[in-house]
Amino acid sequence: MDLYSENFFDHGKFPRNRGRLEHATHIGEEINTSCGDKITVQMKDDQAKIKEIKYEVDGCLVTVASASILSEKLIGKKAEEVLQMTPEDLVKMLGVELTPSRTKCALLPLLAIKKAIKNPR
Amino acid sequence: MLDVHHLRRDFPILTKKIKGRPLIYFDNAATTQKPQKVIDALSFFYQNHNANIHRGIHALAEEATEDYENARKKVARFIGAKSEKEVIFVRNTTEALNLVAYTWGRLNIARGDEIMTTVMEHHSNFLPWRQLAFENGAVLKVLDVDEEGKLPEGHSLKNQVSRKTKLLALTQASNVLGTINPIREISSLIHNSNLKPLLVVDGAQAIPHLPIDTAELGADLYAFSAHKMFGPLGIGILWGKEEVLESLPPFLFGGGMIKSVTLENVGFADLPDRLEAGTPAVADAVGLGAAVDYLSEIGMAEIKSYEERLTGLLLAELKRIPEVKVFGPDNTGQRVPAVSFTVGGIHPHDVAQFLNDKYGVAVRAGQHCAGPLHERLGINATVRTSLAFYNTEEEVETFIKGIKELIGLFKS
Repeated sequence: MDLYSENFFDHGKFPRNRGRLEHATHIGEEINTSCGDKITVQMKDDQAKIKEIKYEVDGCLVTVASASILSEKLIGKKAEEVLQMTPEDLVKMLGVELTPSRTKCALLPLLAIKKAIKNPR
Repeated sequence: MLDVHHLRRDFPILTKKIKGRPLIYFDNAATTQKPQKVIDALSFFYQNHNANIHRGIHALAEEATEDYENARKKVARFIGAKSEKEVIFVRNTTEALNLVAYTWGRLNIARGDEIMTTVMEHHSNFLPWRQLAFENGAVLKVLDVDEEGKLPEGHSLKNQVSRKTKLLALTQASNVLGTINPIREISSLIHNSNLKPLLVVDGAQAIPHLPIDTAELGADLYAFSAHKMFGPLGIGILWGKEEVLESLPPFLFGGGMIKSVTLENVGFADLPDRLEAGTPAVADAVGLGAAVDYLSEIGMAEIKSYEERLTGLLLAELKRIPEVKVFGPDNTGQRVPAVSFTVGGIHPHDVAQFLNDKYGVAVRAGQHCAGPLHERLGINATVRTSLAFYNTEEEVETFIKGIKELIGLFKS
């Protein structure tokens, strides 16, 4: 599937769970140094499982779509499991073909989520 | 009249397909494609003349030396140098400008002096001066641009240059805005008022598009890269007035830049060898010589007038699209064909990706190594379309179609 496939593109254009979380338990921020795109993730967990994810993002379609998809698919996952996710796991989860440079865009939200997991408030 | 369809056959890569569509290469400000003659010159050298230069007695060493020095002569003729001693081979524009900053700069810039540059510079003509100012306790002054992306002219420029200004570093053409700076006017403006800053010009974006005559230009030093003018990657030129180059101490030390060395004494070589330590990129110099021959055959004036027309079409078509905002001058006589723009709220990376994926168009997205300029423009990034003489009106039309489809897709 390419970037313009219905599901991925839809997440990019109409991202789910965008915004701030009241009473977040974890916060993480990442910047893509090659383009300046930025994401801040707020999360709540419940017995080491991710309960809710929200994010504020200034980024390209790939970064936004990745954040949106992750904010849905990681709910209920164990923090440990998420920390072990590889770039390959992510690409598989997103279900699109990405060039190496765009894989970096897709990784940004995952890196921010991993940072958040390690950064309880 | 330049026959573009005939000339395109000289560039093998232009027949390449991207995802099944013909490649439309609009990233020429990053690097240009190479004609078969340049590619052949590189392999001919390695197949027939390869040796290290200057020191050998054997036949190959003589041939390689002759090839290398012939390339220097060709470059000297191409830019109107008074002698080939004024032509120094370096790796690229960045190295040429750093060479000046590290030699002339470290020697001549004192505490309290001013170094002047502009907000439209590529990082390679900004960071070496920023660092020099920092190390030597000088003040870095940065000239602003107006809304059209032009530098101040006449009095308003002259008023900013003072006796303290020891060096003025500016680009002949902006790699983002396309703006051509009137180097000769700026040079006479400054020198008529008895101010003597060293005038260092970044020619990287100008030399593929304009006839350059260093004898007329008014610059003291002029830097450019071969790969942006249809030559090989990895070689560039620092041109300087002979008396200016003579005043530079050596930059790198080692083989090839000396007359004699004993434990006690070192005698440095004359120009140009003194500034070319180490084994140079001989084959690449030969390739640059071939590129210069190729450009001379077409004629830089022909190239300029063809590109002005093509840029005019590109600008007119882009400006017809309400979502598109174009930066830089409107007048095609005052700009090179690097055209940067934004498309509504669509991220520049998404624009570039879509054009590549759906139309085979190569453009660049980002800050184009011009962070201070993007900060000045108040935007994070732009899309840059940069043309060369082998681009066609049909390619521009396809590109415009792509932009319109992109807008439709992202807006629907």
